[in-house]
Amino acid sequence: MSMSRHMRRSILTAYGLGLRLYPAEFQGRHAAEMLQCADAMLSESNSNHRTVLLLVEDFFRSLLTETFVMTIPRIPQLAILLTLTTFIAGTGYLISHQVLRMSANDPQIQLAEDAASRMTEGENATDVVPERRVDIASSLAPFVIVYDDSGRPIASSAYLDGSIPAPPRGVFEFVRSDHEERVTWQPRPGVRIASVMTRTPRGFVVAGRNMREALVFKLAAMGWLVANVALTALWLLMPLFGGSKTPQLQVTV
Amino acid sequence: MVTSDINASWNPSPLTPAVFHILLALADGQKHGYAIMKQVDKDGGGSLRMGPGTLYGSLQRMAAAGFVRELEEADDDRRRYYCLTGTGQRALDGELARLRQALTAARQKGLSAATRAITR
Repeated sequence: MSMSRHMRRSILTAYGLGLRLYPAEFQGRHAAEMLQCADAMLSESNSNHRTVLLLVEDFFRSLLTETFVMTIPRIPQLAILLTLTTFIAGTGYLISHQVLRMSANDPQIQLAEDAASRMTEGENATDVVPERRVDIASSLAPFVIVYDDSGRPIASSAYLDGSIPAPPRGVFEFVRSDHEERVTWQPRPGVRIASVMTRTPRGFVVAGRNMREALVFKLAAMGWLVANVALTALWLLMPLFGGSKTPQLQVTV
Repeated sequence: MVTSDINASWNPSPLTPAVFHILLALADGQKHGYAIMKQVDKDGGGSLRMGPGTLYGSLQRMAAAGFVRELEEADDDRRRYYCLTGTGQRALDGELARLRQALTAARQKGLSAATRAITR
């Protein structure tokens, strides 16, 4: 059964468009002859159905093979790109973390010194602590905790799992002699507190707040992931471009 | 002779069906792509049909491996011609020897299909 001219032209047009999916180098070198072959196969075939099936099967199989063959030598290129994005994301994270950490103590210094000053003037511990309760695991709001001279909490606006958190014992000892200390401590995994501890006549004042490290890390990780996915996609699609000419369809019926 | 020494020691890995049939198709002279496809079809008795993608992908790798060579001149239809190289010829000889040996072994074991293939 012979194929109509229109049908043959349509199949060859589709085949020619499909050839654009091959890597540019292969496409530029062989696409025109592949199209000529397909044209000749359809013209001379006794079984058009079988020939079309052969063309379709061959197209997909060789497209996968050629893409794979062209991809392997370029793997080091992708590795370099991904290493670069990892380095950039890592550096970005470290810089943001450092900037955040350097400015993290600013409000706490003021809060701790104000509270210590008010207590020196005779105010009660409960008066210098803000009324608003802060769950330090979830809130980023600054908080104040007042401890007596033995390090026992006597007033606090901060709570963690229902109790008042306390910095490591050594910090109290240090502040007892040096008056003030800026310290980052971790009352439980995943909660890091940037705090300032100041000495008062009757004990210690700690002002602190949860750091935004998790958010910064999430942002850096997200940026890294998006950049890597975009680069990998670009890297996979790159062989399709490269100045190759689209094969010209010249059907002779 | 150096050449015969190389021939005697030639023992490459078995060839893929596509490579073997392309080498076989080119054994009697240079051909362009479509002529190779038709020859492969004929040599395989219709059992092995090769599409353009498989053919040109194989030819590209075979040229890189030194089995075939692309000729400088093209015909009026701008079709490129390919011919066997010495390496390709030796690979084909090696593969044919391997097949011959396999068929002989099959015949000795009384395998009917192989015997029919030999006697045909």
